[in-house]
Amino acid sequence: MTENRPGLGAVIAGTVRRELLLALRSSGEVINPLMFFVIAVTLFPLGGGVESSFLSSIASGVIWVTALLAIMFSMDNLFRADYEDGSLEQLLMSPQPLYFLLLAKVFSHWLVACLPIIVLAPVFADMLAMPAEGRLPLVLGLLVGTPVLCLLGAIGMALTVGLSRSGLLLAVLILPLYIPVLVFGTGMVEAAMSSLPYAGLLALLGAILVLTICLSPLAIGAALRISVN
Amino acid sequence: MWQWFFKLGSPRLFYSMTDRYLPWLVWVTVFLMSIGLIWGLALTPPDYQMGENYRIAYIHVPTATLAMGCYAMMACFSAGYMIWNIKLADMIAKACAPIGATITAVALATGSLWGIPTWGTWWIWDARLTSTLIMLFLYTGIIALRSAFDSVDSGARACAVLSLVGVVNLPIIKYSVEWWQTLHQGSSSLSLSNTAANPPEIWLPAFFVGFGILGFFLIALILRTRNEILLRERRTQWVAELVNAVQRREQSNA
Repeated sequence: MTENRPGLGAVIAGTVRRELLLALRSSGEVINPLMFFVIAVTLFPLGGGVESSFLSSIASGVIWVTALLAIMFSMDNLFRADYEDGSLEQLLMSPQPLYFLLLAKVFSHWLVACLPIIVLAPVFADMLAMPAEGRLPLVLGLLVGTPVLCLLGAIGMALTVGLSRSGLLLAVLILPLYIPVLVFGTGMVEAAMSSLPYAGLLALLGAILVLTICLSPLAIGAALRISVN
Repeated sequence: MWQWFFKLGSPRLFYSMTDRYLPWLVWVTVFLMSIGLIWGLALTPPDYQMGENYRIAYIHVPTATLAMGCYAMMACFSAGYMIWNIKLADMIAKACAPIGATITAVALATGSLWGIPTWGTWWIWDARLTSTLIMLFLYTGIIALRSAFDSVDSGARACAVLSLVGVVNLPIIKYSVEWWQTLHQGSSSLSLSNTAANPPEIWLPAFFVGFGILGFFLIALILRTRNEILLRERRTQWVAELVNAVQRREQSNA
């Protein structure tokens, strides 16, 4: 049995390839979080006022909050279909380490749902009249912070995937856990805009990322076992 | 060797033990609370800066401490349930959530009331206040998650996972006043070692109120856990006997 088991690297690569292929075949998974982000950001100048002084003061908060909400809404794609067609059970029964399978799954979700938002973020920062020195910390913060949001969201999604209507419940469960990332992420932009160093805040975000990578797959796995049985 | 440990987790034993000791706990709590509240709220001298309104500290500090302690306790019992599958541990964890949410709300409310005269604002987004508010959200999330499950067992396990994840918030609350520049003061000026600022007539009543509120918390926790035990064990022999005994007593009284 054990000798024809593929190596860990091959399994991770295979999981990522499967997830990306599935996402590309149903293009809504890629497009919808991005479209939500674009439309929700557009609402703020239309609802709040178009003076550039007002917009630049809210720009970092608007981009972070809408990105955070887009990621939260996209979490439904992570386990829902797998739960319904039974491949989640196969994943849990697999002889490969669940820890790395889940990391690979969340990583591919991040590639599909978050990377397009991060790429578009500087464009919207400009449209919201954010000063140029805020752009780099915004993108750096999103690059380090959004994987944390995906991993925490995966915990909440794993807990609620067995429930039929979980949309608002998921928000109640994971939005409190998102607050530290939001605080440090927007704090970086604010610091840069007042010409203060932001490396310390970035390091804190990095520390949060390392901690969530280490611990959250354990919680996701435990939660999935509860939801599937 | 571990038999005593699992025997301790028997709901029936918990029920009969609390039956015996709950009245004692109630009397001790009433004693501590009445002495502490009268002493702290009426007899201690006013503060030289804050005047009379510092007295709210006698409610605010114990409730804020207990709000965190209750979360830690809930997480410990959740872990106990996940590791050893002790049903009683989950019943206690379930009882912790609404009580903890209420205590957190009381801590936030008393803090706000204290903030109006001393800070000039009842709410500010500083790290201590925000992280405590997150704890309130975590409590409500745990309550909402449990009510979303039809199966008692799945709901219990899901809540246990979420409680353990939320533990990361506890050190953030504890050290928020040291890690960040906050309007909320650090705990150093209230600690017992700082005897110059806190003579015994200030901290002794706090000691009474603190343990009184702890006693009140334990009473509420025990009552809720006992209800939960009766609800979940309603098909067992001993609960049926208990109900019969109560019914017989009521009939003989009537």
